[in-house]
Amino acid sequence: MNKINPEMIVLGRELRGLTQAELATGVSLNQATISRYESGAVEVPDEHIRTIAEFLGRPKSFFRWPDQLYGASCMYHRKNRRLSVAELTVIHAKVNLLRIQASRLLKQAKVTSKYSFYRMDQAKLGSPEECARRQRQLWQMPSGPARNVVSSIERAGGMVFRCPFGETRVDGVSQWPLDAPNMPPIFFVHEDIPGDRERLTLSHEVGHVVMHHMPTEGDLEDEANRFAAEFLMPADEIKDELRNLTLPKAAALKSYWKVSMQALIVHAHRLGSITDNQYQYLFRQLSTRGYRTCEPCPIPPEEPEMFKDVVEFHQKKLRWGMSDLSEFLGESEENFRDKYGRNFSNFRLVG
Amino acid sequence: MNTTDFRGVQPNLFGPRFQRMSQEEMVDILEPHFPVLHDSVMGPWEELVEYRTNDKNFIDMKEGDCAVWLTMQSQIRARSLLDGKPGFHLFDQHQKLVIVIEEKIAVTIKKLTYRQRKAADRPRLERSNYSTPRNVKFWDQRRDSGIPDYPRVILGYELLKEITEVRLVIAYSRSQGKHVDWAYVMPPQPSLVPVGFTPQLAPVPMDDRHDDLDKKRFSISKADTSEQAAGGEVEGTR
Repeated sequence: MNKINPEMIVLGRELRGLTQAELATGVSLNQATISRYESGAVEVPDEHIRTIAEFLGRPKSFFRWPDQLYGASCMYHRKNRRLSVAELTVIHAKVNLLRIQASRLLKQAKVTSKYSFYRMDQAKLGSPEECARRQRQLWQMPSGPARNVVSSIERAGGMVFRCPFGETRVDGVSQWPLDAPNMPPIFFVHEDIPGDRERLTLSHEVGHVVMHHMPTEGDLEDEANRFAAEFLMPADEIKDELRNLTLPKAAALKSYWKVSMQALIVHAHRLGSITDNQYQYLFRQLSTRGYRTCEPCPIPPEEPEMFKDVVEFHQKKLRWGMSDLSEFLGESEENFRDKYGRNFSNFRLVG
Repeated sequence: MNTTDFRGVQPNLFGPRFQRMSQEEMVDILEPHFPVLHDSVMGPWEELVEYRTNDKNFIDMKEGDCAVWLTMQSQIRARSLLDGKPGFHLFDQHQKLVIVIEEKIAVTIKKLTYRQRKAADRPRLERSNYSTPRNVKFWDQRRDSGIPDYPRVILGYELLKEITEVRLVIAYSRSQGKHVDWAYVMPPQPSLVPVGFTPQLAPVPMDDRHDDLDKKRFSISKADTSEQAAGGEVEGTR
């Protein structure tokens, strides 16, 4: 049997949003002991791991997983600047758990896709916009709006999760670890954001994973934004349509291109289709009408299928029961049932 | 004669007017017909939304352009739904459809807009057509030759939220101005299409040159390293 992996104790604790002191109180130990267990300085006795597992709502086997956690440096975020470190820690923990669960499931199931993800050298290609154009070519996307960004990612073997990030101000996170060549890029997107924002967030994250594997001197977030804008609204096709932009026209373009009115106005300004004054006027109009927080013409979110299908493959083809799968994914049966729906034969992924 | 001349003239020179109708009276007459009136406008509206989502030629339409299209298509839809139906009598009044219901009310389809004439005024729901003498008579509920001899009411639609939503109202005008006296917001109506109805479409020749992966996002098969029982494939769908 594998040894206890101290990183899994950290992960279990962070998934619950607890500090070491709070975990110590919960399991009637002192904080220094928890600290030593988490640093791997001492072996964790079996009775303590049982108590910790019960308190954190995880099976004991979860703490023996050999997986490695990735920190913020391996992840890209589309987030609000006011996000606190504690909130970000919980999100990283959720992301790490889902990545590990996916990698465990993919050891049993092989996913074949028509297209692939490639790491691009932005310095050679010249600009994020050129990378986006190449990406559309590689995935053989037809001209016009990207019909379904989630589908494009899954067709290239990427995995998308809609995650319950709660009230936090993170829209999306992505990971494509360099040291795990068999692991596809994984994208996590807030489950409560509207479809237009989901599409922009995912395109932004695609920009990160294909362009930012090497340190660059540029502003990574700005580059990912430019990639996303070109990926969703190719300049050659949309530039003329963005002239004489008004809010009703932006609303009509929104339903056609499936991007927010705000993104269209920003893109129009960046492409020089509207002047600084028009840009400021349109944003003032958006604010006056309350569209900065709730735009008209909502775009429905796009649903990922891959993770759900991989779980279903284990259930239907490999004949795994609920207890096998919940144990395998490091969830209590109760948690597993909550996540995948009460009717196991027709479960629903909620995060 | 322009509008200002018109307003200065003694009203009874233009013939008798219909009795004022209250909102309750009007709604009582029209309520049984709400589903068909609703469908006359909402059917074309849904088509317009669809076109503006999928056809670039419909994107750069201003509010007036949308209103012209929607009014025209609503009239066509109303004609196809109501022509020859008992209780309805349709005729054209200066290229505009007038629907006479139960020989009691004449209904006209129009765009209505909330407008604020002066900063101190409250916004009022208004028609936006040019005030010709005949038009003024029509909406002032006056009886005259060449005008349907029934009380008139507007089946109005408001274009909202940058022309992404529409609201249907029954509006009554009885003045020489463009504003309406009252407007009743029509509640949502059941669809006229029967539940479970599936249109029978002719088979369309399909291009089947692409392989299976074009029809689904990915395929899943058992990994070589698995020690589990052999499994087949689960296919992702488009």
